[in-house]
Amino acid sequence: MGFKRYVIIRGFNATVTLIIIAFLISVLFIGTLDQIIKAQILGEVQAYVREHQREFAGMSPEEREQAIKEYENRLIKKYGLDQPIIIRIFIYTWRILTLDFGNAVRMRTAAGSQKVMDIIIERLPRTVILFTTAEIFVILFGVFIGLRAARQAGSSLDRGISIFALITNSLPMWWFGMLMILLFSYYLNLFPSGGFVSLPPPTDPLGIFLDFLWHLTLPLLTVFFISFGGFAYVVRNIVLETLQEDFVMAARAKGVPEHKVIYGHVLRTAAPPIITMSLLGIVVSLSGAIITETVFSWPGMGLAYWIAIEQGDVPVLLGLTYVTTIVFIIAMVLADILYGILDPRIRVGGG
Amino acid sequence: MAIISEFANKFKEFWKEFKKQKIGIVGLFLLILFITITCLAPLIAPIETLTRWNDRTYWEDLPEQVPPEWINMFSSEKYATQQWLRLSKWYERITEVGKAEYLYATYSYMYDKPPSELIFKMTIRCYKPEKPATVIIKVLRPDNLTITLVQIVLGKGTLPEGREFIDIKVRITSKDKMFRQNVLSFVYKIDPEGASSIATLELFDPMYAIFSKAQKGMLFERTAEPLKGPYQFLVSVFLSDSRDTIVDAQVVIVGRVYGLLGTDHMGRDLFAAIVWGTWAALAIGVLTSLISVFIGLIYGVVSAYAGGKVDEIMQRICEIMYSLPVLPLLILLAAIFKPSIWNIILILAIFSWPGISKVVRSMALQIKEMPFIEAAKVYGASRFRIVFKHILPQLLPYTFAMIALNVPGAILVEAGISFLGLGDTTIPTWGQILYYAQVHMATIKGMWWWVLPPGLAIALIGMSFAFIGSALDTILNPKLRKA
Repeated sequence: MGFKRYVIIRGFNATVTLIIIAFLISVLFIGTLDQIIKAQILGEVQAYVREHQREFAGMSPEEREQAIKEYENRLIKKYGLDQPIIIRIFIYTWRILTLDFGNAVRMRTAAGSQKVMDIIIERLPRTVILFTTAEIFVILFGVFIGLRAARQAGSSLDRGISIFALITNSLPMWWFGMLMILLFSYYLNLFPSGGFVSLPPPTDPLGIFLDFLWHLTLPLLTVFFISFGGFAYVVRNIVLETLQEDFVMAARAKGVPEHKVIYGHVLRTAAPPIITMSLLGIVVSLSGAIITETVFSWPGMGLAYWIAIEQGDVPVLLGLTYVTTIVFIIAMVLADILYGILDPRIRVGGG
Repeated sequence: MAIISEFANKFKEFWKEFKKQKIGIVGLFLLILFITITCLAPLIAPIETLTRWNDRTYWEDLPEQVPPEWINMFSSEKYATQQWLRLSKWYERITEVGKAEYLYATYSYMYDKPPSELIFKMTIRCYKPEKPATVIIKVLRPDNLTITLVQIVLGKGTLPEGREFIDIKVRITSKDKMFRQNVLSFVYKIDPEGASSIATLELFDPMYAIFSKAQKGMLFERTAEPLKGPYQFLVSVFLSDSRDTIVDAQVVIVGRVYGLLGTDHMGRDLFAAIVWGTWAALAIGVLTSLISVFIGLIYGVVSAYAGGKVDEIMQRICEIMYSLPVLPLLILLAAIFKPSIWNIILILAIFSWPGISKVVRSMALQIKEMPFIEAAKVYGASRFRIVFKHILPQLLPYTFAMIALNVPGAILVEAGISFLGLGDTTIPTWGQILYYAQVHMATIKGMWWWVLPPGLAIALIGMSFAFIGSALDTILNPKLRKA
């Protein structure tokens, strides 16, 4: 199987998955989706009445009623609310696939837009910047420590990192965030307890940047502390497995210097799974850290989840879930393809 | 018998291996601790914690958002603790309009910070409820000053048909407006300047004034000096009928500290909540893991043994499930369907089997090629028999490791959902305690007792399974043991 075909199959699978999820959401939440549309129609009818007040003034009450009813029916037709349930499911599936989640119930963007997609697009970069930055630190330190642990397998560093990974894997990241706020914000008063700008915000560019970093520190440390042990442990296992392979022994037997064995032979072989793991790590931390954002009032996707849940803003919730799913699945495919590029052995076979 | 002794031998052998794994022993110890807590929960904490978790009336005598009692050991200033004092009868007097009953209780105040509230509770057995009764409550301080705290005329009721009397429950607290007003006017005589600086009655905490030396600044936490010694609470009740009695009367000294782990915003005892939360955490973790490992095991083995097109299709389905972001989808489901604890377990299990089935499948593929399976085929064993009699038992040891390793994930996800306020709110869970802590800004206000213990419990129970699983994995996977 050629590489091109491999990419196409992976992409096709991902697309099918996304269609299936959109379909399942439509089936599971058909009642809720109907309600959302009804609310939207009601809003539009009210807007219509407000706009046409002057024309309505000249009409008799019956005529007015008639006109409003007509407009409402036109909207019902437009949104397909008059269609049977099967057709409605497909309409909703299509709307989800085209990222048309309609309007939020209460949430707004800073500019006042109530479109769900606008709200998500406003918040997505903030989430990405926090977790990508954290993940870069995790990867750098994880590879460094993991490599050392693997080379000194059985040492106290090695055992320490294994236990550290086991412990941090069992800690809820968001709870650790709460502890960080308690310690560094309440008791030591070193960092802000939440948000991402001071009030009032600084005016000079350097001040804005430093203020941003100051707010970033606590959430960044939290994500780093919880994720880094697990990642280092994975790197350690991958490197350790490579170290036990014959070609490493052969290289050593030939008298190749140790650092060349590590950086030339071992790391080159271990790189593909490590890189894939890194990419997956970023994505998993993105979706898994939803709750952590809430703790720090970091105004990204995670906090949007919290607000949407508290206010019962279902369209926003739907939009957030689907967009997260898309990001997640695309990244999974990218990780697979990247692995294929780096390690040609894997391309053969579908599983 | 032979089977049993063989099993016992195998177990002994396994235990010898397991004992060498220090981390496994730590995990086992923690797990036994948690199981013991669950079993002994009814003895350690009242069962009402579970059954009346959201019932405000059950918790109304407890202080809200206060730290645990033992902080007194580490603090230079001592905080008043929770006490229930019985109001004993002093004497009674029959009058021409009814009866007067006088009750008293002595409270010895030896602290630096006063109680957070005083609650007077009594039940009056009333024969003529249409006539009002009057309650007057005074406190006699160690410095011989008396404060009239309450003088209240109780509302009139009517006697239900066929009944001779009704029991009227009376509950008067220091949060009542009249109570505050009375204490404020007492202070006015001693520190008029301080009393006039109180802008609204709502912001006035009468407790400092009652339990501080009668001098300037007695109103405020910062300037008040505690007046230690015996306080006499005197309650006089004027009843409208000579047959009327006071059935049960007590004064609750609501602490500024409470219990082993303090309380939350509803005055719920957090120690009791954490004890009872163990049950939910264990149930969620173990059941979810059992169900998902069971599904994953069957799915993986069938897929591996069937091979060909069936395997291909099953793996595609598995991949789709595997590529889903579990948490966001769970949040959506939970937000719209408001599930009970059992439904949460079910949904979690449905999302977590694909990873397990992948591992099982690859193991089963190796076993499938082994000679003894070939032999069974030659003997004419049915497919069903081969899968369930020959392949599955080989995998069984690993499933124990898988079950243990999958528990922490399930507990973490459920805690996360509860933290968003989407879990089962009818019972105490650790995640839910933290949800309320977040809603009431416990971190920003430094309420560590509300934040620290539940999270620590989640972490420790997760660790216990992770440690055991890791030890099992090391024993069963010799390749990793080398390290």
